[in-house]
Amino acid sequence: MSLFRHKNKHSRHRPADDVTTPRNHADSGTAQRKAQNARWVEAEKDERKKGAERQVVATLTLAAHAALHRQVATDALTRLLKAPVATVLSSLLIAVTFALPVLFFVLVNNLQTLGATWDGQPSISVYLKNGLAQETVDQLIASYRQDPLIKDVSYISPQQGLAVFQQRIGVLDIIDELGFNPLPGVIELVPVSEAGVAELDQAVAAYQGRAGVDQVRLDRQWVQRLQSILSLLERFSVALGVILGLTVVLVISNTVRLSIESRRDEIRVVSMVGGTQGFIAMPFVYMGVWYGIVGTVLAHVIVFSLLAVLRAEAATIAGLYGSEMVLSGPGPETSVMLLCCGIVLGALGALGSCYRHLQTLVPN
Amino acid sequence: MIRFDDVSKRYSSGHMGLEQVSFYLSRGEIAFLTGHSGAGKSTLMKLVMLLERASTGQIWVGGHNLRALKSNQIPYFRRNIGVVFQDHQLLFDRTVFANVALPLLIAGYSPGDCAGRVRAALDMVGLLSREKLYPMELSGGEQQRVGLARAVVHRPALILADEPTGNLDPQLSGEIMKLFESFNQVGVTVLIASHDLALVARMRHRILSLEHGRLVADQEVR
Repeated sequence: MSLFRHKNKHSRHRPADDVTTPRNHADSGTAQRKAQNARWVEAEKDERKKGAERQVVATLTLAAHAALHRQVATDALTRLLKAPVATVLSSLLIAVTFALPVLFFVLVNNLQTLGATWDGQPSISVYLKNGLAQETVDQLIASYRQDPLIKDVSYISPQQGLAVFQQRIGVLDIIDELGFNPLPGVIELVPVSEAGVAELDQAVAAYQGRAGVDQVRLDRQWVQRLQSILSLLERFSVALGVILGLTVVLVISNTVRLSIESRRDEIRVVSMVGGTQGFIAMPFVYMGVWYGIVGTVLAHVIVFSLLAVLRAEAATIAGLYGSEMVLSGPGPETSVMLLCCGIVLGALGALGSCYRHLQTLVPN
Repeated sequence: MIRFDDVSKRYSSGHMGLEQVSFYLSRGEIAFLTGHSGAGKSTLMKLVMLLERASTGQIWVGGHNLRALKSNQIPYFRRNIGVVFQDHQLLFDRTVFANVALPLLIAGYSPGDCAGRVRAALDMVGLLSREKLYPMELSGGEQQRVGLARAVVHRPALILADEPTGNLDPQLSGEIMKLFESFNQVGVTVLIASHDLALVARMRHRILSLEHGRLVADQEVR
């Protein structure tokens, strides 16, 4: 858009118009003023007519836009790299803020795989009271065998239980010191696969009341509990992500504000030679974007190094629970998503800062 | 090119920057604006380039009523005006070349086209050999000439200069004024604010005199 028009791009400057300009202001009466104004208006109209063929300002082509953006983006990066310490410190703050929800997310994800690898076939453990007569036990076993809901019944006597326990965990010494076998007899029941959750729950309630039975556990329960805890944690990590995302926006916005303050003079000059608000804001928006990118990259470094440290520990714990679980980091989708979040949040923070602070700096 | 019609500017503090000023500067003219500091020279300049809005009265620049210009049009409007400041307002973190290229970059010229125009502008002010230096490495007069090159690089129809020779010795001031004259000779409208009455009188151009915000004299010295 041009508000001034010229005849020709190369020979645009024409000699002065032959306008006779009235020059006596001090004594201008109203009638005189009116006549004078009329002459001026005519002169101006004449000028506009004469030079209305061509626009001066080059309109921005797509290529010029691209070139401008490339240059501004590179400039913004160079500017950040020129002050590496300050950049790294600010980015670290952003990185930590990103790393927290990511770590949480990774934790939840890993626990979820733990829950998912479980074979899904529920079993019922019937813990018997201590010192039960063999007859009572046999009766119970027989009754379970007749139950149409139950596919398979196996009995683990206290002695067998102790043997398995010693073999697995090696707590022989403690048990020896106790002087007696604290383990109850257990009847393991495998329900038929068609059995629904409601039916199983009913059966568990019914078994609970029988003579000689101490406790009945449907071992699906811990999985369900784990899963409900995990979904809670997942929601929590989303909420945490939102809050910390907001923090990232504020951190970047504040960093950009400082940069805006330090480049006041430049902003003033650019505005006076005709830079639009968008042009003035562009380097700062790119700065925010770079902070977002550097922040997410550093967040990955933090997350992966923490996971590397924790991996051995996690393997030991998983081993104790007889699981082959391997602590895995964020996958490529998560990383890409995180990077996008970083870019968007960086741009948002910078835009917010520009919106608030450029108004006061740009003379309009 | 510039028309003031009964323009007054009252600042929010109550101070009257300008009072009922009317004048007309036709296209291709060169004129000086004189007066003591505080007489309203800078206010008038600010009104022309829309750094401030007039309180009352009408201003036309390049045929456009400034009252009718929306704030999102202001940047495009300013691209047609070259401004020179007393403290030249160069950016010290970039080279002379980059400083002069700034208005072109803003207007969206391609880098190739940019380079040619920047060199042409620097050549005009005699600083072609200095393009790779930083403003800090230049003398005051040279810095002012860089400011001048920046003001003309995009070939504006109007040049406004606010005390362009304020910090320079008489000889350098004369050189700078010669440059303004040479721009005017190719048809650019030039309005120069200066309190250096001796220099202004030597130049023998139209003189608009302000006193306490009022236009008290409009002399044609030819």
